[in-house]
Amino acid sequence: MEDQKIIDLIKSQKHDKVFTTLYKYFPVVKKMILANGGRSEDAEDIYQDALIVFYKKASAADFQLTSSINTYLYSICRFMWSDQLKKQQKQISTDIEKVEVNESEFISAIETENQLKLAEKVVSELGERCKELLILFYFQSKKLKDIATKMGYNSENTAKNQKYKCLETAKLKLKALQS
Amino acid sequence: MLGDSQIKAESITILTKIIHNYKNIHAMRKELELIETIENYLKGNLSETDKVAFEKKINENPELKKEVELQKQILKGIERTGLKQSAKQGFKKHKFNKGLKNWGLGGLAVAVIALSSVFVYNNVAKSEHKENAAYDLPELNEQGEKLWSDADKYLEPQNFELNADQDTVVETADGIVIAIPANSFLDANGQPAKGKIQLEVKEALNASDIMKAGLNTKSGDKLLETGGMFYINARQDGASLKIDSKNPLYAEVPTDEVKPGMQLFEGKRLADGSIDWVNPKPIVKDLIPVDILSLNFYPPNYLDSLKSWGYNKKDKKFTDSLYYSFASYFTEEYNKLLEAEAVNHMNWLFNKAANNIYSQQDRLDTTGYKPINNNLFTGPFGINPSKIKAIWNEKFQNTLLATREFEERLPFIFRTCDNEVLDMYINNLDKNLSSIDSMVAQPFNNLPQATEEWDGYKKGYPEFLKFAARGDGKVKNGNTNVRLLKAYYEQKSKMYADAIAKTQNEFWQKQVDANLKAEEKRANYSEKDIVRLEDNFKKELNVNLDEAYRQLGKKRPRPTPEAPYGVHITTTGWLNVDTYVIESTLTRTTLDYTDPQTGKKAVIKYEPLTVSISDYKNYDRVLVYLLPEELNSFMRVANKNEVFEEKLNELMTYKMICIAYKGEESFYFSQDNVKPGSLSVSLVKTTNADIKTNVNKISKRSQSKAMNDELNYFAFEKEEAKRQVELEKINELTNKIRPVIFPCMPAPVYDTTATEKYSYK
Repeated sequence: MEDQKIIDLIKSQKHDKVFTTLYKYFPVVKKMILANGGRSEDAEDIYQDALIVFYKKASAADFQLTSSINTYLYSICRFMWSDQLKKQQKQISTDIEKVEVNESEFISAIETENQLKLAEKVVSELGERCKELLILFYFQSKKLKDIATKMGYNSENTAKNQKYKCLETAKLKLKALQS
Repeated sequence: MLGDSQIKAESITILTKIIHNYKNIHAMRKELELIETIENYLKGNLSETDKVAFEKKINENPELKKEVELQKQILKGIERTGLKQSAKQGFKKHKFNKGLKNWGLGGLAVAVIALSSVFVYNNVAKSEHKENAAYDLPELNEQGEKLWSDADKYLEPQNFELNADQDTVVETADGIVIAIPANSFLDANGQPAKGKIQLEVKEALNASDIMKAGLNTKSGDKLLETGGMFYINARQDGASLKIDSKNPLYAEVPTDEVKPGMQLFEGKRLADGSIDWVNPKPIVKDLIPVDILSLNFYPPNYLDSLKSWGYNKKDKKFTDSLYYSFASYFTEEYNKLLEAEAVNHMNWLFNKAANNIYSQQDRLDTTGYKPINNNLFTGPFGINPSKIKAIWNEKFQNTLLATREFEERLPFIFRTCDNEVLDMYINNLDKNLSSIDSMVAQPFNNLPQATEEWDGYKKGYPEFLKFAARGDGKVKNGNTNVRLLKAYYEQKSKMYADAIAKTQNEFWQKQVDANLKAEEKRANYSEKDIVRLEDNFKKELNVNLDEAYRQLGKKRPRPTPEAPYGVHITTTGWLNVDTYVIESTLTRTTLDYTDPQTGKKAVIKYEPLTVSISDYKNYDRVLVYLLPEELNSFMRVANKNEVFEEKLNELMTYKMICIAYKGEESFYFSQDNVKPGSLSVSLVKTTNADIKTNVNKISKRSQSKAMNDELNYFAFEKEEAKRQVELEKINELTNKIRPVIFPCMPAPVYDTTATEKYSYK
């Protein structure tokens, strides 16, 4: 798939297709991380985070692709992995191949994402049903009516109430974690 | 109100609350909008005016500001979680798509060298053989041709002799198991071979054997990955036999890893001594039914968890009834409870929110929230036990459910928490098990509103691919009345669900009734207590007044004060004898009054009695009573730090009774004519009946009635405490085992400690 087509898919929020497609660039990243003291799981985690950073960045109306997506993703991953190695106070191998992408383009986006990790943790640790409900409503923008039918709630109202209950729980947990 | 005796069986009060809450639904709709304000604000859905007003509130109220910030973060957290899920899914799909492509290209294969006949049973003694030399071969191969491959020459033959008209199972040196039904082999005339036949097997299951045999793994010009190769041929009197295609052999080849897409290839000998692999077929394995009741259809770890908590996992009656009781989560009633609980929560949220946002008072907190039932979750959250009950029985004997293979899949089915997956197996009893596996593994979407929008929503369960790859087939000659069984399943699972719900409801309703009854008894008891105290007081006051007036040499005025609790000692600014006597009687302190006119004194002494019980801590409950000769009832002596203290009126004669309980045992002590001072009492073990007899013997008639009521009440309380302990146990076990039965059920969110428990002690 051409890069522009992927960007178009991102703009129309087809994240499923985007992510499935973009995993074709994963092997290069995996190789880089394995060669620099990481394990497969590290590579998967880093790539996942990088996909999200890229996706959000590319969703912005004014986003302009300055290099190929492959290069761009690779740069984000390289930056994230170096950063992680630094945090673990490990030697950074000079073998990490530098590619020509202006890092300043995505550094702030990575930081923003990092700050969201606590909230993500709280949400992902909710019960499965709560999580599903919240994601369907807020992330996938499904209609409450459809959610109620899909998840077996008696009425739209029940789904709505349940949704607020879940939201409230998440807020309380986050509040507890932050204080 | 159940008050302080509120027990954990909160579900009990729900029925009334449901009615109450339903009434509130309409009133609430409006209020709901208020709690949505933050959300609308964050989504930018507020009008300009509302937005400005709300922002003003935010700026004035730091707590509100914090709430808005939290909600904002959570929304972002949800987005991130969603993206992450989508990315993970993308990874899986990517791998899956890649796998499909490879499959299409190459294909993985188990290669079989020329299937013609079979063998088994008894490995005929081998002759000496020189390493790396070729083995002797008959003139003709199994096709009747003079063509042999290198593999034929260099693989060691394993010979078995068997009876052609008997069922036989053979295991080779490397572990290939071959099942040979009787009469599987046909002779040159197409008739089943009779008597002794010789079976020859050659196997190359590992790399070194394959290389030694000079075998390649090519099919045409494509390279195959091999799970092993083997050769089977049977001969009688030197002539090759054919396998009856209607009565084929069944071979299981050991392998470390079953890969999706493995197929069975036939080997075709080429003139150059190599073998080409042709004619691939999917590997399908017949299933052998076993007694369905000998299989374990419980959720994974169910029995072991019970065992580790000290329950008898072999007590099927117990394990069944516990497991099946969870079917009540799938009933209409349960849904209603959920709805009511949601409303309950919303009511609470709204009240809080209204207080906070609009009067800008306290910050939001949850301390006041008390769910009507902590154990409510929105379903479905696991496999419905009534479905298991409907299939785990005689009816499904000899179907693919009655196989070890299905049993192996069940834990995975349980982990999907998806009843549709289970239905898929049950509704396709006539299909190959592996076909059902692959259906389950692929995305499926049979929702009524299935549209493109929902596309890919139900992702399928790729973990079932590895089962699909095993090529498990169906039960040969199994019960094929699929339609009937399907109907049976549907009808029964519903019937069981209803029956279980009914039993459960009846049980809890009984507990509700018992709770209410206990409440009533307790209320009665405390009421009687008050009456008794008042009565005792009046009588004692009467005794004291008589004595005081006698000592002062005055005639006692009539009538006696009627409302002792209402006496205001200084109302008119002067004190008289009565008020002093009332005060002394109330506080149980010595009266020492001097008549200001005559100088005469009235003295009535109150002196302390303390009773300590030896081994006090040993007992669950200790009670000490005084029975004053002058009163119609008894006095219960207050327990202060494990010592019983009372002040004795010198005008009265007291008998004392001490009773204690420990578990099912009762202890007793009594003494006449108790005097002030310190008493140390050792209780004696006895029976409840003896206690009653003794109490009746030493108390006056009017007192024994009251004492009997008292004893009966404690007997009731003891039973009640036992019931509560039982309930507690049920609740505890239920809560502990629930995550095992419903792995997808979220853990309770709200603190359950808000529930007070009634304590017997």
